[in-house]
Amino acid sequence: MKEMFRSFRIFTGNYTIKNVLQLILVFCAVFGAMSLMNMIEVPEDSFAAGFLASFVPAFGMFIPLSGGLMLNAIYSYNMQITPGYKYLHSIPSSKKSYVQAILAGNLVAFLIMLFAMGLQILLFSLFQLGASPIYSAVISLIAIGLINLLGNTKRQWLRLVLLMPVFVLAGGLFGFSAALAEDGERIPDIVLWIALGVSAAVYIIGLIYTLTSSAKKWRRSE
Amino acid sequence: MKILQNSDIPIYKQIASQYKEDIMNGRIAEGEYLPSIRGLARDLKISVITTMKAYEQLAEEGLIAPVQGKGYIVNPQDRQMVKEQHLRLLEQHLQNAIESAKLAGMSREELTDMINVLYDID
Amino acid sequence: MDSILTTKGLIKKYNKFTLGEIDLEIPKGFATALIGANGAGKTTLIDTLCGVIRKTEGEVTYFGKHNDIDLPEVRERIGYCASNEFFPQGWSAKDIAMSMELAFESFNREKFRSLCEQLDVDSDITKKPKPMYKQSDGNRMRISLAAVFARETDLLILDEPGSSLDPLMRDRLCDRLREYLDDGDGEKSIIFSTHNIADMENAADYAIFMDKGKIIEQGFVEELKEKYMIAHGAAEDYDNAKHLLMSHNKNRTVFEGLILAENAEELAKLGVDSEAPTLQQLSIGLLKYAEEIR
Repeated sequence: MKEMFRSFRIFTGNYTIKNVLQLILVFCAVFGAMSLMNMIEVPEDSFAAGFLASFVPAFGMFIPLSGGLMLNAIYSYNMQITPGYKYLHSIPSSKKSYVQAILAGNLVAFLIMLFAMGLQILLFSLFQLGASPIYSAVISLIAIGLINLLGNTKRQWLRLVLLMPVFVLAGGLFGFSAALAEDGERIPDIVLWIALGVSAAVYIIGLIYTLTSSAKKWRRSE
Repeated sequence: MKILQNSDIPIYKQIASQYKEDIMNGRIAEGEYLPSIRGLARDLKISVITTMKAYEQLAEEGLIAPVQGKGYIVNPQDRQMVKEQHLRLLEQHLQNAIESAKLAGMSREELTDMINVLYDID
Repeated sequence: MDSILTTKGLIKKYNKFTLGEIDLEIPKGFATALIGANGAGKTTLIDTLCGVIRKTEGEVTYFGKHNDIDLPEVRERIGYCASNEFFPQGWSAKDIAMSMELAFESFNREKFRSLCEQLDVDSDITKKPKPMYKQSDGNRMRISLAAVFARETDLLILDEPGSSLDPLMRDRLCDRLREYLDDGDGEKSIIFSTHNIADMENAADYAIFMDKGKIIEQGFVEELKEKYMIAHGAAEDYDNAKHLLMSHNKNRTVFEGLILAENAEELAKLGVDSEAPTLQQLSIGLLKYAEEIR
C-alpha cells in the first residue's frame, strides 16, 4: 500500500494530489450551494430551478471522471512526446513504479467516483434532486475501464475517440431519463442493473489487462 | 601560476614550464606534492586532461613522480647539476653580451661598469 | 585507463535513422564531450545508454561490471538529465523535489534548495512556485540541473546542458563540472553532449565526434590537438594545397582547412601555415569532412 502511494507521488509530484483535494472542495461547495438553494425554496420555473435540473446530472457524471483524467495522465508518460517521459523512465525501478502508480491511480479514481456518488445519493434522498447514482457509476466504470484498456496504446487518438461516445451516451441517458421522469415514468430497474453489470465487467477486464501488461509496455521498442 | 589562454604556446606547456622553474629554483621543495590534476584544473578553469599532460611532461623530465593514491611528488633535484646547467647558460649569455658589446664598440671597462649597474637593480 | 562505460556493437534502429554500430570506451575520471550536429544521434545515444529507450542490439557495460541499466543500483549512480522537456511541464520545483526525493535514495532537498538559490531560480520553498511551462528555457534547464546535482552520483550524463544557457551560466556550469570531477578525485565521470563546443571547450577532456549515427573520430583532447592542425593560406595556393586538406573553406582572398599534423611540413613548403586547432575548429573541420565524404 505504502509502495503504491510512493509510486503514485513519484508520478504526480505534488500536483495531482492538490488538484484532487481542490476538486473535492469544489464538490462540497457545489453540494453546499445546491442544498442552500433547495432550502430557500426556489420557484418551479426560475433560472435557479433549471440550473439545478441540468447541473446536478453533470455533477453526477462528469466529476467522477476527473479521477479518470488523472489516470490518463499517468498513462501519457508512456509516450515519448510527453514531457516527463525521460525523467520517469530514468528512475530506479521505473517499471515497478509505473505499475504501482497505475494501481494507485485506479484506486483514487474509484474512490472519487464513490465519493461523488455518495454526494449524489445524499442530494437525492434529502432534496429529491438529480437521478439515480447508478448512472454515474455506469459511466465512470466504463470510462475508467476504457482508459485502462487503451492506456498503453501507441495511438492516443484512439483513447480520445472512444471516450467521446461515452460522454455522448451519458448525456443521452440523462436526457432520456429526465424526459421519462416528466412523463412519470422511469427506466426499468432491470435495464439499469444490466448496464451496471456490463460496465463493471468492462472495468474489471480493463483493470486486469492493465496490471498484467503495463510492465511489459513501459519501455517500448519504437 | 599565470596561464595565457590565447597564447601560441599550448596551455599544458605553459603549466609545465612554470612548475619546472619553481622546482628548479627551489620555490617548491622536494617531497612536496603538486596540486591534484583535477584540483588544479578546477582552479585554472581548464580541462583535467591538460593538467594531466603538463604533469606527464614534468614526470618525463624527471622533475616529479606519480605516487599511487596521493598525486605527484617533487623529486629531489640534483643541486650540483642544476647549478652546472645555470653556469652553462650564464656562459652562453655572457658570450652573447660580449659579442654585442664588441659590435657596439664598447670597451671591457664600459662593459664591466654596465654589469655592475645592472647587477644592483633587483 | 579505466573505463566507466563501454559499448560493443550498440545499435538503435528507427524507421528513418540508425544509430550504430557504436563501440565506445568512456574514460573514468574525466569529462567526455559528445559533439555533433543536430540529428547526428547524440540524444539517441544518450537515451539508449540511460535506458530511456530500448536498444535494438549490442552490449553496454556500466562501471566495469553491470550490463543491465535497469538495475536500481546502476540507475542510482547515474545522474541523467535531458534538455528542456525532462520533467512534466505542469510541475513546479516543489513537485520535482517531492518526486525525486521518493524516486532516488540520495536526493538531498537542502542541496537542491541551495543550488536553486545559487542559480537564481525557484526552489521547493519559493512562495509562489511557477510550473515548468511558465519558466523560461534557461530557468527550466537550471532547475533540472540543480535537481541532478542534488543527488550523489558517480556518472553524470547530460544531454545538451549548455544549449539553453547564457554564456555566463555555461561558464558556471563548466566550473561545476570540474568541481564534480575534483570531488570525485578520479572516481566520478561526466558525459555531456553539445552541438556547439565553443563555450564548453575547457571542460572537455575526451571528445567523441558523431555524424549521421556514427562516430567519426574520438580521443583525448590534447592528443587530438596534436593529431590535427588548421592550415591557413592565400587563395592562390589553394589548388596546390587542396589534396592535403580534409575540410575546405575558401573565398577570394584566403582559404583554411583541417589537416593531419603530419602534413604540416609539406604545406609549409607551399607557403601555407598551420596551427594547433581549438576544439571548436576541430569540430567544424571534422564534421565538414564527414559531410564531404558522405
